Amino acid sequence: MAYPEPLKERFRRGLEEIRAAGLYKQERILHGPQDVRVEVEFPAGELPRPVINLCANNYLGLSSHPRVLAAARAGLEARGYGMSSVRFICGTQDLHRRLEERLTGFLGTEDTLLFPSCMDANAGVFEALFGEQDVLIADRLVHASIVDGMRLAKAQTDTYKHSDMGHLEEKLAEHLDKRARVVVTDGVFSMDGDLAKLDEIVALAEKYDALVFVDDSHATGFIGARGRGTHEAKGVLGRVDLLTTTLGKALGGASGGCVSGRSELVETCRQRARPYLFSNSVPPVIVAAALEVLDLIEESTARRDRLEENTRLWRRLLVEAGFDVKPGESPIVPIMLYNARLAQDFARDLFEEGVFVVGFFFPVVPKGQARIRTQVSAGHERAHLERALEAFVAVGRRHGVLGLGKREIVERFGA
Amino acid sequence: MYVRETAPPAPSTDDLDALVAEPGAVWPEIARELEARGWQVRARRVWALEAHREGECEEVLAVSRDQAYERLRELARAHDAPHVP
Repeated sequence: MAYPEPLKERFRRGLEEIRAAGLYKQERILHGPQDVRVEVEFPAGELPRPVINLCANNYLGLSSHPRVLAAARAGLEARGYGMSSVRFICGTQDLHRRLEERLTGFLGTEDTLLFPSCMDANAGVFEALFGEQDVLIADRLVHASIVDGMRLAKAQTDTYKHSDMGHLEEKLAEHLDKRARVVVTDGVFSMDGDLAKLDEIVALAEKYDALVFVDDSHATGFIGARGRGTHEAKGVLGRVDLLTTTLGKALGGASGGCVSGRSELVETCRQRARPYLFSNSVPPVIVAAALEVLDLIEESTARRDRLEENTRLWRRLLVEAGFDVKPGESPIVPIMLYNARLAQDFARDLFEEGVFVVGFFFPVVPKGQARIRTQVSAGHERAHLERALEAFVAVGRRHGVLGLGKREIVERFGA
Repeated sequence: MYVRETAPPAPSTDDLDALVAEPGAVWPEIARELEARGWQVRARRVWALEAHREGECEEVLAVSRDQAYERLRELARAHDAPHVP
């Protein structure tokens, strides 16, 4: 038998262990398009209920924007549904090149290469560009896709403490004997929503003759005065050597990603990056919609400005209500609860109150750092955020956490 | 860090002798075959370290013990780093 009982039992046991550890992921089923208000079936089999969505990466509220939908339809009609090919055989349309050129202009780089996702971009970029004589020096909180990409590369790897520039400098000095040094960081870190100190990172990289790599997935489209990303916000446009980012968050939210940066590096990825070489092209419908998204973003900063206002408002409302909020400036706004059970119960109760959020706890975040991660959108109206706050306050009162800091919450609930 | 209690199979006496006597020697027949296809084959003595924890496993090869342990620590660290989508 190809699937023997002991093997089946092994996987059953593994799944039971995941459940027993409280780590089983149950999908919440949306009955309708992605938006700031959604109809969610959860648990499976229950009637869908309307909730305010505070957990999507739909930062600019463009996932279901009428112009984006119209562009997608037009792209579908004009260029078809699928490419049935990888890019370098017969899967490159004029639209793909146009989007790459538009992203290059928007990100302020020299060239861009599309990937099926940013996960794929990160999986391919290091292996394509760096070898055993090179070293990748990564912030310890980089995204999981970067960790995986670094493991696929033959390059040596090292890490520095999160956003600790002194430690990064030590590491850069330690690796002066390597052929190339590459500092690897997220632009906005997805757990705490904090921005990388890119100005200081670039200065150190220039001092130690190192390249800088940034995954700006949680920034492209809205961080910086024109939404070009963390490098714009930190005043280092044109001084970051490699950027990866996604079309799957602010830029329409469908899928697709890219590597953008120095032309030789991008062209080398075009020749050697395996997820690019061996995956189908990004579908024309997504490419056409992404072009429209860039039009919308470049026409006006109104949406990113609105997102900034909403973020400030949401943070202020939460703090004034007595929640322990991680300080920051990105639309990722974590409400700290520290205790895993409390975070789970809090998210469940918020759902009952009509607010859709997810509790994060160990091992997704460090032990004793459980939280509710909220994500603000430009699509939120003030009324959405005020209604969400009412729910947060009601649930906060129920659990007795309003006005409490870390010490008091940990004393009451444990870490 | 947990290193598995059951040790991997030990090298045979012949292998151990060869490791000590001629650490850079390669198996001529296979080396010639690979070289004919453009590979350069080399053999060297290295530190091989493993760390196992439940279903997770990390292995490193390095010329110095310090380097090997340092790299093993970095690889293991990635398992414990928090990751959110």
